[in-house]
Amino acid sequence: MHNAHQHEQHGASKGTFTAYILGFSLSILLTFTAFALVYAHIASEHAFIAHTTLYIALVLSALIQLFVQLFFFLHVGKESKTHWNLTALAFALIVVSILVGGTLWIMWNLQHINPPQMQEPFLNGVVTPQTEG
Amino acid sequence: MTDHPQTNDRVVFGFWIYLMSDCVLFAGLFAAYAVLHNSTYGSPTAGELFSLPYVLTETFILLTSSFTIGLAMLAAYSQKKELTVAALVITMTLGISFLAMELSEFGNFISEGHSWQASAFLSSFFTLVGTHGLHVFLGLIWMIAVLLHVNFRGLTDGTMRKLMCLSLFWHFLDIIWIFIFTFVFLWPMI
Repeated sequence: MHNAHQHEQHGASKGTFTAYILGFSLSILLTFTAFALVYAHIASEHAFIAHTTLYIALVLSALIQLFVQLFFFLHVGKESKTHWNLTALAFALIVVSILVGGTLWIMWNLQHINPPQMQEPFLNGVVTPQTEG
Repeated sequence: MTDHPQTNDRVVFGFWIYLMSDCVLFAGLFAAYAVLHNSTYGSPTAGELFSLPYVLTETFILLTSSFTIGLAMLAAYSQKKELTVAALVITMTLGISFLAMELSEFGNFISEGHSWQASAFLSSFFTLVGTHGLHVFLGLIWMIAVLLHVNFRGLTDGTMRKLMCLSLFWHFLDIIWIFIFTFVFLWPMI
């Protein structure tokens, strides 16, 4: 009775062995691909592929891995009835993108607007020991 | 007994909300690192400091531990206590190895004079990676507690709830590490 009860009800849905194996292999594959690309790039004295392509590949591999693990390890999107977990996750992702995106946007603009002599203490090391003393 | 599944739902959902707010904490640290990672102030740059194969090993260890805690959950759902304990012990061993590797690398950096005081880059690096390491450390202590619960009280509703939260936490730490691996270690190498 105890057993059947547990199988029916728990809100955080559980994965299957196949799902864990799949998630694990995909994660290993993606991690290794990202590593190998960067490693080959360094080994070839930065001539292997274009920098922009490599940056995009890194972002993609991290994002794909995020969704692979959310799906196969955390079983997001497979909850029984309501989707409050998913809602909280979506909200967190929005906050995170505003926080990181906004920070980079502002700092990038500061770097371009500020005259070079202002830029030195402000951006390259915030308040450095030298400028402080 | 009948209201336990709902209690479980609520507890796990509450824990999920905590994890989401932890995401925001890490987002702040990631943003700081992104802004400061070139502000090396004479100390070595990220590209000169990090050893990629070493970090890749750490990544695989943590990834494997995320997989083995998943296996512990599967064993727990099918009420196999010994298997659950075994999978948790493996997870813990992997977690300890990960932490040991990270601390030994921190030790190397500091003994070479590249501590968090050396530059804004290193401050943000140690804060971000150190906060993740602290989470792993607390997760390991928590895992010991859950392990004792499972071992002495068996796989009751209460221990299942603890296991569920712990496994969510551990998978979450692995996801954060993937972003650290990609954006802290790989990104500046390009």
